Amino acid sequence: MLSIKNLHATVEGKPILKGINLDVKAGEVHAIMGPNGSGKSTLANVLAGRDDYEVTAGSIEFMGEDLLEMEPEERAWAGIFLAFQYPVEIPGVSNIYLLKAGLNAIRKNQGLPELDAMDFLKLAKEKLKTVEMKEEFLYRSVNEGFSGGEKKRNEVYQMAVLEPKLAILDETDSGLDIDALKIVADGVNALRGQDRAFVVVTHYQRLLDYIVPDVVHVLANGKVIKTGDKTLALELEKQGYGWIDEQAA
Amino acid sequence: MQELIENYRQQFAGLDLPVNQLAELRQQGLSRLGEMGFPTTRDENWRYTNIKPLLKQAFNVVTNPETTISNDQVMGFEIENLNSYKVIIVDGRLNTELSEQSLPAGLTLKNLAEVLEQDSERATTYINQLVPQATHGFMELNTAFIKNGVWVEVGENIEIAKPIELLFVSTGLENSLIQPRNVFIAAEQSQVKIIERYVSLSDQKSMTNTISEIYCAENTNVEHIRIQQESRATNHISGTFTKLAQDSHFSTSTITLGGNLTRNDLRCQISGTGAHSNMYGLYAANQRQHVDNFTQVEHQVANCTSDELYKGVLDDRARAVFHGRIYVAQDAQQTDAYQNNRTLLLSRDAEIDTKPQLEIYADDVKCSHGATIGQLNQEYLFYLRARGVEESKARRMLTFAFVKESLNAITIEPLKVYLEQQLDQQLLKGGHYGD
Repeated sequence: MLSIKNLHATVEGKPILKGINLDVKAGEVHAIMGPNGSGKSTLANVLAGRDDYEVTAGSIEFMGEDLLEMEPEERAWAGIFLAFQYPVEIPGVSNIYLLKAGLNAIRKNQGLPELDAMDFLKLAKEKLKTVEMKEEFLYRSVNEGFSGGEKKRNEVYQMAVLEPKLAILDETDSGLDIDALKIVADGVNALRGQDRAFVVVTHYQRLLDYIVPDVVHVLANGKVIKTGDKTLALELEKQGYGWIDEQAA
Repeated sequence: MQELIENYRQQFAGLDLPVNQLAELRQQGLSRLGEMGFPTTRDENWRYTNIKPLLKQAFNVVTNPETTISNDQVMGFEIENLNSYKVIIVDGRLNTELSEQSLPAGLTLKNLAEVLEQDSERATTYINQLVPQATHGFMELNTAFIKNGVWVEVGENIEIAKPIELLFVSTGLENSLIQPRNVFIAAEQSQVKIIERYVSLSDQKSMTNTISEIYCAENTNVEHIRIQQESRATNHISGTFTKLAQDSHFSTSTITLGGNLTRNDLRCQISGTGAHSNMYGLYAANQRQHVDNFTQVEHQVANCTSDELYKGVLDDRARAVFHGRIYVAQDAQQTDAYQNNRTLLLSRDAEIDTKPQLEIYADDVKCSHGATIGQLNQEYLFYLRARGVEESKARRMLTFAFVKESLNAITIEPLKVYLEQQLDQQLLKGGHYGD
């Protein structure tokens, strides 16, 4: 589904990603772990198409298409979803309005009929259950006045509505208490399936107790330095990132 | 300019206005106009608004409007689901046939001319009492020709449940000058919502020059919404003058969508303790439209609050001016005054000149002001696009969301819905909405 080859990227001229190779197949959950500054979030944002990042070498193929040639919305239409590490508050744009516009744009580009207001509302309400949110949530401005936990739940909620093929979760666990973490994990697990893949970026192993990965990659200094199964995450938890820093240096 | 003023003087002389207590007021207006003339960009308060095009030739002052319009024409301006007392004013004069016939107890609604004839003494206790002398030539011109307009009076302890919708229809006779003069009075403990709406029926070059004086007595709650939707051939100059007594709550929204050149003066005198004033404004201009909002709030006594927010979007070669002055008198301790002006520029050629001003003589106050000018937030834009919203649509969503915030003070829901639709249509007339 996703094939990243020798990816190099810079932010304001500073190299952050220095040759990432990663293959994600449909149905898989990949965890990307690593110390602060290792390039985890950069990778997530490059996948979503944020233009503050410049790809200087390498390639990303998604479902056989050249992802780097696509605008952020075209990536969403193709089935990519980024759950933001820091979701922005957008005053004056309601959740429901944004989601309806987003979903219908995606459906249109996938050759599906657009949903009318009634059908959309039905779907939107149903999906609220997956993250235990109240209906009034729909009518509030995007993330405005939301607590940290509510913002993250909203990201997972949006994912549930948009049903992407590849979901990238950028530190969705940061700042969550254990109850919120479980809700977020349940939301993700409910979406797991043969046709869908996840890339879960996290600093801590904790989230992976609830979202059990198939593959774990350790990122350091802009490269994948180790790949293993879920036990690698446990190992990291025990040993910390110190040994990696030595290895990467 | 003298030639122009002479023309207005002759028009004045040719009128057969009743001789009563107002005659003197009119005469004063005329002579002050002669003394001060019309404003130029050399006047500090008109620095960014050049009215020269309005001074090329005199407009014909309409004092005895003869045009009649049909109910169908009025229906074209209907606001869906708005349940209001509708009052139709044609070229400045109240048209009783087209207006609401059954008014609730405690509400007086008359053509100003009627009040002037029947009770000119009472009329003069209110007319021109809130307008500072020699504000600018156009106000004097309005005063010189005082005759028509709307007199709204709400009695003590009366709550008018439905909004009063004053629809000022300009039939747009070529080169005409319509000068409504309005007085709104809310007696003690009353509550009222007044919509003051200006529309036009033709695309002929014309001008509206209007003044409203609003009296909020003790413990009143007054909501006022002024909407400028005239044709792009219309130039619009307005003055809104308000006085707030003790514990009164006044909220005004100045919405400018139409017109060629628009200048709105708004002045709020807070003269009773415990009073609160909201001053909200929205302007969306494109092509060559020009909108100037000149606002002043005067805190004359202690323990009052005021909140001012003007937001605008400018496209193409549109220009806007914002002037916001907060004045706090020496005795006005514990004042809490807030002011903000935010403008989004969609095109390189659009321009805003913003001038916030604080003038504070008390020492125990909380006052803040700010002005921002800018483009759309890139983080917001990326977020919407990452959710699948096409870039141009995302830009529209954000532009619209930005400016509609200044409609938040409006409590009349169907009006808000209508204004949002009108705002969207207005924005679509610009060349860069969504670029």
